[in-house]
Amino acid sequence: MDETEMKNKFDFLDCLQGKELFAKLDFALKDGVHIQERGKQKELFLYLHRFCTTLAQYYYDFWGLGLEEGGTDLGTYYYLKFYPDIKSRIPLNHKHIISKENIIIGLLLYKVYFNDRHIELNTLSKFQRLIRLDYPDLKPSIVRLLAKARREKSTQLNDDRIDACIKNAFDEFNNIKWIEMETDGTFEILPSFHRLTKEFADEINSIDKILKES
Amino acid sequence: MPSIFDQIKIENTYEMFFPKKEQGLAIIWLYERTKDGSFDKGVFKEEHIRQAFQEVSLKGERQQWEFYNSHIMALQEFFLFYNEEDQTYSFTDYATYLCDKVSKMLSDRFNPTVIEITCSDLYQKLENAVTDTDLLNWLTIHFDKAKTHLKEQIDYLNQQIDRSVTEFSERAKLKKDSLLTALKDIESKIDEVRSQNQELRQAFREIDKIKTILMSHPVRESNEVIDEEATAAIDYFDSIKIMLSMVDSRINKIQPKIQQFFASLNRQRFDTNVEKLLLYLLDKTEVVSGELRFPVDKTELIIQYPSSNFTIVEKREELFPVPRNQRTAYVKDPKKEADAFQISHLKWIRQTNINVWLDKIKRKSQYSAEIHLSEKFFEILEKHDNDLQLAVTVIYQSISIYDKHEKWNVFINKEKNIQSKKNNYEIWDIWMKRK
Repeated sequence: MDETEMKNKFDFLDCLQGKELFAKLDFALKDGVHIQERGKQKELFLYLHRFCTTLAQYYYDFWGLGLEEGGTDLGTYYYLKFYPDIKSRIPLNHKHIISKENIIIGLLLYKVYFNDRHIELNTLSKFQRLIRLDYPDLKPSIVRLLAKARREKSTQLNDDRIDACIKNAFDEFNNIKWIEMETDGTFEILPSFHRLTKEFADEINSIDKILKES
Repeated sequence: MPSIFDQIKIENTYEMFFPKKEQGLAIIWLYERTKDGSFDKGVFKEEHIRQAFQEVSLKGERQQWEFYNSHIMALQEFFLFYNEEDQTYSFTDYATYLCDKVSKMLSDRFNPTVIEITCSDLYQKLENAVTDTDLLNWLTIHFDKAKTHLKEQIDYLNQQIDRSVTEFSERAKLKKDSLLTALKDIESKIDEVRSQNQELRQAFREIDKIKTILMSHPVRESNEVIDEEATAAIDYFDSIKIMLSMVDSRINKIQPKIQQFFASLNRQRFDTNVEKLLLYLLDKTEVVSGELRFPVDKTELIIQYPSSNFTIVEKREELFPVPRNQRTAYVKDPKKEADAFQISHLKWIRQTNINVWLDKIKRKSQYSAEIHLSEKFFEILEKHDNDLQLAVTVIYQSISIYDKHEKWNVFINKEKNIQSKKNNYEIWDIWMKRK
C-alpha cells in the first residue's frame, strides 16, 4: 500500500473546519457557484484547495461529478462539472442548463470587455447601453435572438426586452460567481468567467474549420 | 523709440503678427506636418499650402488661385519664407516659435505649482483676515476667484483618464497596433496620472490649514452671512479632497484590469476566435418556437445542480396548543426563604424611611421659606448608612411633589455640584423655595 492510499479518504470531513465548512461548500458547488479566492469565498476556497484531491474523489465516487480546477495561479477557480458519459447520481429535475440566451450574452460580454477593451465597463446599465447603441452591426441578430422579434428592427419594446434578458443573464452570472455584482448593478468580472470559453474551447479553437464547413 | 502699441496699431500690422483664424489654422496644419516629418527638412510647396487652406475651410472646397495667393502673400511677412530658387516654402523662426509655444501650452495643462501658489496665497490672506470685512472679502473675492481654477486641475486628470481609457478601446477597434503597445501606453499614462494626483494632493496641502482657520473663526458667531459663506467654503474644500481620492480610486480599479489584460496577451488568437464564434452563433442560431437552437451540436452545455430545496413542515404552535404540564411540587428551601424574606424586609424598611423623610420635609415646609434639598440628601445618607437608593428616592419624590405645588417652586442649578467630605457622592444644587 503506498502512502496516498493510506490517506484518509474523508479527511475534509474529519478536519477541524469540516463541521463548519463542508455543508456550505457542498451547497455552493451544487448550486453551480464557482469557488475562487476572493472576498467572502476566501475561507471556502482555502478549505477546498487544501482537500481538493479527496473532495474530487468524493464527488466522483458518490455523485458522478467532476470537481474541476480552472484558471491560472492568480485566478484559480473550482467548480463541479457534469460528465454526460458517466452515469451520474443527479436526478433530472436537479439539473439546470444555462440558457442559450445567457451563453450569447456571456460571449457578448467577453467580446466587449476583452476584445474591445472597455476597461472601465463596470455597471450593468453601461453594458446594456453599449449593446443598445454601440454595435449596430450585431444589433439585428441580437434583436432576433434575444428580443425574439420577427423583424430585426430596434424598437423600444425590443430594447427593453434585450435589457431584461441581459439583466437576467447577469443575475445568473452573479449567482454562479462568474461576476460579482452589487445591488446597484456595479459588477466585476471574476477569473471564473473564463469557464464559459473553457467550456467552448473545442469550438473556439476549430472555429475556422467550422466556418469553412458551414 | 515708438511704443509697440503705436507700431502695431498701424493698419495691417497687427494681422501680420496675429493672423486671421483661417490663416492661423493653416499654419498650424502645416506645422504639424513639419513636425511629423511629412515634409523633408520642413520644406513644402505651394500646393501644400493650398491643401492646408482647403482642410481649414469647413466645406473643404477649392478656391480661386487668387484667394490662396493673397493669403500666402500676407503670411510671407512673418510666417512663411519663400525660396525663389526652387520655389519652396518653409517656416520663419517666428512661426516655429509661436507654434512650439502653442503646442507646449496645450500639452502642459497640468500645473500643480499654480495650485500650490494659489493655496498658500489664500492661506496667508486668510491668516490676516481678522475683522468681519476682512473675512467677507476673503470669502467673496479671493476665495471666489480661486475657486474656479482650483478644481480645473483635478478635472484635467479625470479627462486624462477618460482619454486613455477611450483611446485604449478605440485602438482595439482600429486593430492598428498590438495589444502590447496599447497596454504599455495606457499603463504608463495611468501611472503618470497617479503621480500627478499625488503632486496635486501635495499642492493642496494648505487647504487643511485654511479649513482649520475657517472652522473656528471668531467672526462667524456674530455674522450669519459670513457663517453661511464659510460653511460653503469648507464644503468646497471637502469636495476637493473627495475628488482627489476619487481619481485615486478610479485608478485603483483600472490598474489591476490592465494587469489582467497583460495576462491575456498570450490569448489573443483565442480571443479573436471567441469573437468569431460569437458572430457565428449570432448569425446562425435559430429561434424555434421561442427557443434558441445553436448551429453547433453540443448536447449538454453547462449544468448546475441546484441542491434540494428542503421541504420544511412548519409547526404552528398556536394551532396545536401543548397540553398543560403537570404541576411540579416544590420543596421548601429554608435558606432561600430566609434570603427572600430579608430582601423584602429591607424593601419594606426603606419604604417606611422614605415616608418618614417625606413627612419631615413636609413639616419643615410649613414653617420655612426655603429648604436645601441637597443638604437633606447628605443628611439622609449619613443617618442611614449611605443608603443611596433611599436618599435618591426621597429627593426625587420631593422634587416631583413640590415642583407642582401651589406654594412651592423647585430650583435646580446643574452648574453647581454639592459634595460631602464623608463620602464620594455629589449632587446638583437643589432648592425648594416658597412662591
